[in-house]
Amino acid sequence: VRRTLTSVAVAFVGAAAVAAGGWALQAAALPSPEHADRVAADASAWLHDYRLVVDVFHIDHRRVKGACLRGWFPGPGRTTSLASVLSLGSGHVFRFTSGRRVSPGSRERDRQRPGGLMALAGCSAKLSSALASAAQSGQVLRIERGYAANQPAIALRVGRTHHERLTLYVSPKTYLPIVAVVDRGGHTATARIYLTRISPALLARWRLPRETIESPRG
Amino acid sequence: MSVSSTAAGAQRGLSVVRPPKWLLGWWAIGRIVAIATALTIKPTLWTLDRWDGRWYRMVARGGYLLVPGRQSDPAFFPLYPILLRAVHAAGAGWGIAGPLVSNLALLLGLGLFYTLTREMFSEQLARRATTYLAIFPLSYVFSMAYPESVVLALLAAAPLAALRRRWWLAACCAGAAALARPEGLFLVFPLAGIAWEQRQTLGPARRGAALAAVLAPPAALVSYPLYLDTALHDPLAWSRAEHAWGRKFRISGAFRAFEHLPAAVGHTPWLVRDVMCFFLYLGLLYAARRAGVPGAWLAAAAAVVVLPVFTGAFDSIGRFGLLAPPLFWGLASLTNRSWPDRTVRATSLVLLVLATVSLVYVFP
Repeated sequence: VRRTLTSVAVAFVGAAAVAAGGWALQAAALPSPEHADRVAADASAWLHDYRLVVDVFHIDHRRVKGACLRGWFPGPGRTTSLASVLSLGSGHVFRFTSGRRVSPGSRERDRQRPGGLMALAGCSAKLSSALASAAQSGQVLRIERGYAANQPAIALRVGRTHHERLTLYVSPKTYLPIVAVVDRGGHTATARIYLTRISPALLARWRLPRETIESPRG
Repeated sequence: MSVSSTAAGAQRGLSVVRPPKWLLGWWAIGRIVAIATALTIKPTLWTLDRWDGRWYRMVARGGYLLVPGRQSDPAFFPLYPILLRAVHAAGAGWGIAGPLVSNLALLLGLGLFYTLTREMFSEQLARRATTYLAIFPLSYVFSMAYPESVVLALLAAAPLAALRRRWWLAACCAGAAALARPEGLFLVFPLAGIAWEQRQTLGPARRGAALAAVLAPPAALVSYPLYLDTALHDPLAWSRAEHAWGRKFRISGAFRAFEHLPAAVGHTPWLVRDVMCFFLYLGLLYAARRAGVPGAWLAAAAAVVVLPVFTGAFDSIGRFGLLAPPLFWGLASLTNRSWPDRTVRATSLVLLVLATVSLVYVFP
């Protein structure tokens, strides 16, 4: 019995040493993620969790309300595609598939028009994707203390291209997105973001289409 | 064929003899064919550094970052990025670090695999199995910024050390293997088999060390979520990241994999490669069993080949099989005569070129 206990004790000490050594090796050799990257990742996760965003946009000195829904919608022919539909209080409806607006208008014109700016600032799919890509691409993100929507916030600055900058204001504790500001080619769109669970009343209120496939989360 | 674990080996530790010329030659042939083909496709290291290589480099440069709901890097195990960081710190650029580590680790791995196989079976079978491994059609992965070469070296080193009764060394190698790829976990089976064989000849402390070596892969695996908890405050980050990559183990997964196979092949015709590898590997496992490969090794190889199907997909099974030594023992057992041996070598080299070309279109 004593010999067996000795063997078992040695084995467990050895296994514990391997586990501790493995942890120590990883902790010593791998860098921790930058704080800004974690803010971006967590904000992206918030946006991923909510498919409906109700926005208050300010663009070119105009104020307009809108709502953006991410989901599976009927595409050309009998296909379905993952898309975002942005419906504005003014009656305009924009639809974006795989990062571009499908209709109406050409892709190049979309980049210059307010619809594209508002989609990046106020649609969860585009914003989430932009933040995640920025965090994972290794580009330098900057964070600083800020103030947005009458509350203290963290300002996360993402330089997407030479001509495009995104600033997302998030809650300091939970990194919940509050306000997004997009500068592109001299135009600025600001969106006060309200992440919202889907309800039939809201879909009707914003004239948003029904999805082809029910998504599991609201 | 016979399995030997002689006490004489106990004195040798892991002192591997200088790689024989034929082994160096086949390593060089395999690497030249794979690298030259890759460079012909595109004359940069891009081809060898892409797909998962990009993610390993991302971990090496900036550490882990979980982006819930999206493909993110905690799905990739930490040992290979740690090696990349070390090589980069020594002066190598990020782009060259991966292929450099992988190709050199393969030479070490082939040497250890040859020594292990020779110790377990025979010189002739060891030569053939090592040659086949060096030029196997999917062995282009051994030249990419993927951890397979490093894991191969550790997968051979751990049981070799165990056969030579260097159980603490075996524990370190097995733990390191589990930190590099999930397949390292299956070293539990052969190490347990070797420990069981030696049980009568080991003292209490040495027996404890043997048991520690058997427990080392799961212990090392536990250290990964513990580290993720430290770094990301989420011990389940690996599991969450795997879900986003479409990998989720279910009992019904194997059924789903076959049920959805026609649609999956219609969507990604390259999947045929992995399905063919799956059935080829099952055949080679059978050949290995007939050739007398120990049951513990067969169990480990079966786990490497069959378990991924329970995620509901066949993707990458061809690559996973590179880390199942019994497959190559089984193949070598079928080529005792000269002409089958030559046929396998020639076919492998041709397929190696074609498989390397596929890198442009599909991940390994």
